[in-house]
Parts: sequence; structure tokens; C-alpha cells
Amino acid sequence: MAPPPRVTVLRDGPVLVVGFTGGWDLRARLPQMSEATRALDDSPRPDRLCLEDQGLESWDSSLLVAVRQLEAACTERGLEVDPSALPAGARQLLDVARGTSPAPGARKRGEREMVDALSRLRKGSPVTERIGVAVLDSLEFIGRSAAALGRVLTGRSRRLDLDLTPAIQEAGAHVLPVLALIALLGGGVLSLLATQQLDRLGAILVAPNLVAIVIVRELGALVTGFALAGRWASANAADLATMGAADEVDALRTVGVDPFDLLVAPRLLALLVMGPVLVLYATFFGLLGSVAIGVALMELPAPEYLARTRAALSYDHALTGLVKGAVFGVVVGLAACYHGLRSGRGPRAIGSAVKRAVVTAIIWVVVADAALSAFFKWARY
Amino acid sequence: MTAPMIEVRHLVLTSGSRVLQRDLGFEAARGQVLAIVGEEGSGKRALLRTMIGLEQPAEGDVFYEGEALWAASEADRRRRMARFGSQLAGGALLSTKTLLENVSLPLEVHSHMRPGDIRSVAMLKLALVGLAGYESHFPGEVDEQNRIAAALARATALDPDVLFCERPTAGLDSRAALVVSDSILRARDHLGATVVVVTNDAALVLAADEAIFLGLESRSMKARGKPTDLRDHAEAPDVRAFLSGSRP
Repeated sequence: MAPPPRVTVLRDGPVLVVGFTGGWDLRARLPQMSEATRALDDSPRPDRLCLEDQGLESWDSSLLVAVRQLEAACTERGLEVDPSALPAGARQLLDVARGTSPAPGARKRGEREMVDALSRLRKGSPVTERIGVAVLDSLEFIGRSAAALGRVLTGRSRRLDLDLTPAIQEAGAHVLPVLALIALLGGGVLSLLATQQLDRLGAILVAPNLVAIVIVRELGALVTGFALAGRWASANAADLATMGAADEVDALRTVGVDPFDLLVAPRLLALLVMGPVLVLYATFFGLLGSVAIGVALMELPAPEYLARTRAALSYDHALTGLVKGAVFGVVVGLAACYHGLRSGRGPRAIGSAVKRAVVTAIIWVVVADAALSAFFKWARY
Repeated sequence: MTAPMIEVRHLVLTSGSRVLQRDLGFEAARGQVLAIVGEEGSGKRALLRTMIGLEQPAEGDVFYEGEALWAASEADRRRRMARFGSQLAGGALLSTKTLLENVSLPLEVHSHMRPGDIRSVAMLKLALVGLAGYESHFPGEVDEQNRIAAALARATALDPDVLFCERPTAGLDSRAALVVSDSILRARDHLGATVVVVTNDAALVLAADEAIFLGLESRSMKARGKPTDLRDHAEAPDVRAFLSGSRP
């Protein structure tokens, strides 16, 4: 068992001699340098610090830590340090740590400060400024997506055997089961509430008309938007973020492929096509649910109920639903692609990209819904 | 005569039902650098993980200073493992923690230092691999070389008896590889660690004291010895070719 590490402090005229003895072991207790540091401030103040090996049995990083603490204290006070009596190995390591032998890849102080300033600007700037940056960033993304979509539609993109089938499958087939369930139950509940409430007012006979219009104009499109946000946006944001993390997106750039052409445009196109189709599908299931509940509650014969439903509907109503479907599809697609491609690296980044994609998609679906409803009212559709 | 720092005896490594290596046996003295070389699939990674204590071997054992690692009790094995430092492939840093926090981790787990001391030691270790000033960076914010360097700082945080390195220079250019190799060799030269490095980097192998080559087809060691001797006199032509940098 080596003797414990010890530090001796000795004053020799203008020189303070700190000696190290014993066995220094990082896994044991680290000796404190407070006594030696205090001696630096004795009056008259020493003008030099000598570090000496006065019989070290063994030493490791704990000695280096101690010496660095003393060195830092001396630098603060403008004192000279003489480490020449320390073991040669320790001196070499201290040189490396100090960076006197060229340290690999370390940024110079000035550079470091500039980088800091830049990141402060990015992270800590006023909220308005950050919102401004985010808006510009989003607009740029939308612009590039639109350009890519244009190139794909006009056949001018340099695409590698662009195949829309998987994108359409993802946006269509995979969303169908969940969409049917939401629409069926949504239509049923709507019908239930409408019948109950209108019955109190003695207007139960308008229930089928009201329910049908709400489903065709609003519910079908809205549940489609939500289903796409939940099922499509999450899956695609994760896909894109994973590709980014594996450098695949950059690899595309290196071979001269615009990621927007290959990754964003097909997805947006698929959603643009599938949005209205899915709305039609959701509307069908919504109406199915509402008719089933309505017929059961109102004691109205099914043909009569259906006739009322049909009478309430017009092509204009259907058109508003379909337009909403296409817009929601594009909005969800943009949100997913944006957060997927803007994702950071590392394991946590993908989860965070998915979360942001879904939340953003839902928010913009609702905002777009409100805007479109206002527009249709203004246009008297 | 004291027992060698590391001794591998009759080790059989498997992956599922597949035998990777049979009857491996070699040793390394304290302060030696041992390079493990082999093709993809020859069991380098399995051998390293067995030596670190992460993967139980099918047969055989690894002895450190004469004490078995796998035949020992769980508690003894943990105690032994606490004296190892490991840099796994790619760095394997925790991405949600800064470089300083990553390096502090083993100190927090295995030592009884005060937070201030842990910080001092971790800063020293980062400075030793040239990462002074990068303390509050996250692993994702530095390049591959610095991730490996930070992983080395974490592996050497407690001045380990044995430092294990897994492909430290893979994917690095020769200059960066040299810098990383230097950091590894410094741990041996100045802190007395025995180093086990899995690598297919001929320059790093040549800097080692001893190299063992794992055969893919033979599923056994196909060469062992001082790398410079192997370069000139190894029986297997591919070993000579690998070390002299020519095509077989």
C-alpha cells in the first residue's frame, strides 16, 4: 500500500516551493491545494512557484489536476511557475493539456468567441427576430417545394425513375382503416347530438339535412386532415429525419439530386391527389355512421332519411369538402417534409422531428380549415 | 514472476450457433499495446466485448493479473470492470450530454470525488485529447475525430488499468488517425495503461507492441507477434501484405 499523497509548502525567499510526495491515486481522495494556494497570498508575496517531485511513489491524473489548479491560481496572480522538477511524463502531459504542443483540432480563442456570438444570435435573440427567421425559413421551404412540384409536374426534374406508387400507397392505403373508424364514429356522434338537441327545439326533422351538410363540408375533410397528420406525417417525418441522420440527404446532394425533387415533390403530389379521394372516402363513412344512428333514433324509415340527406346535398357542398381535402393534404405534407428534413442528428432528433411534424400539421390543418371556411362563406359557396 | 496483465485462455467465441473463433490464447504484459486485427466477421468485436466483460464467452476465460473475469462473481467482475476504460466504435457518446458531462460520467459513477474535483479531472482529460474549449459542446456538434477523442477522454477519465479501443481510427483521415493514435499511446506511456486496440489500421498496428491476427476462414489466430517482425517474417502472406501496405 503506497503512502497517502502529500503536499508540502515551503517558503524560500521570493520562491514558494510546493513539493509532492507519496502515492497519488485518482481513485483515492484528491488532496486539496488550499494550503498552497493560500501561501501564494502571504506577504511578502512570492514571485515564483516551484513545483517539485520530493519523492513521489506513484502518480497519475490526480497529480496533474493538482498542478493545474496551482498553475491557474498563479496565472490569476501573475506569478511564474517552474514545473521543471516534476516527473518528465507529467510535464509532457501538462504541456499537451496546456496546448503548447499542438493540440489537435482545437479552435483558437478568437474563433471560439465568434462561434459563440453566432450561436447566441441564433438562440438568444429577441422572440420577434426568431419568429421572423422561422417565417422566412418556412417560406423558403414552401417556395422550394413548389418549384420542385412544378418541375415534377412539367417533367423537367432530373429524377431517378420517380415512382409515385409507394408515396400514394403510404398516403392512401395505410390511412384507410384509421380514417374509416374516425369518420364512422364521428358521423354517428354528430347525428346523435343533432337529433337530441334539435328534438328539444321541435326541429328534429331538419336533423338529417344539418348533419349531412356538416359531414360533407366539414367533418369528412377535417378527419382526413387529422388522420393524415397522425398516420402520414409521423411516418414520413421519421423517414426523412432518419435519412438525414444517416447522411442520405447529403449523399443525394453530392450526386446532384435536389432532395426536394426526389423526397418532397412526390410526397406532396401523392397527397394532393389522395387528399380529395380520402375526403370522399371519409365522407362516405361519416354519412354511413350518421344514417345508422339517425334512423335508429328518429324512428324515421331509412328511405325517408336518405331522401332528406340527398335533398340537402349539392355539388357545391361536395366541392368545398374536396378542395379542403387537397389543401389539407398539401399542408400536412409540407409540415412533415419540413420537420423531417430540418431534423438534427442523433437519436433524440428523430423523435423530436416527428413530434413537431404532427403538431404543426394539426395546427395548420385547423388554421387552413378556418381560412377556407371563411373564404367559402365570402364566395357564397 | 507476476501474472501478465491480461491473459486469454482457450477462448471460444460464438455468435448465435456460429463459431467465430476457437481456442484463442494470448497474453499482454502491463503497459503493452496489443492490437487485434481481423477481417469483418472474424470476431474482433466479440473478442473485445468478451475482454471488456460485456459478452460472455462460450468457453474459456480472460484473466487479469491472474484473476478470471468470467468465472468470478458478478460483484468481482464489476469491480474489475471499473478499472477498465473503453472507447467503443464511433465514440458511443451520450448525445444528450455535453462532452464534459460525458467525460464526468465514469468519475461520478466510480469515484467519491466532489463535484468540483470531477469537473477538474474531466477538464484535464478533455485538454489532454485537445478538446479544451469544447466542454459544453454536444457530441453532435463536433466532428468524428473529436467524438473519438472525447470518447478516449471518457475512457481514460479514471486512469484505467486497461484501455480498450474499438476501431479508433476508422473513418478518419491519416492525420486525424495519427492524432487519435497519439492520444492512445500517451495513455500507455504516461499513465501506464495496458492498451487493447481493435483496428484494421496498419499504421496503428505497427505502433503496437504485439499484434494478433484473427483468421476468418480458419476461425483461429493466424499470426501473433511483434508487428514489425510480422511485417517481414509472418507465414501468412496476407499478414505481411497488410502490414507492409502492399496488395497480397
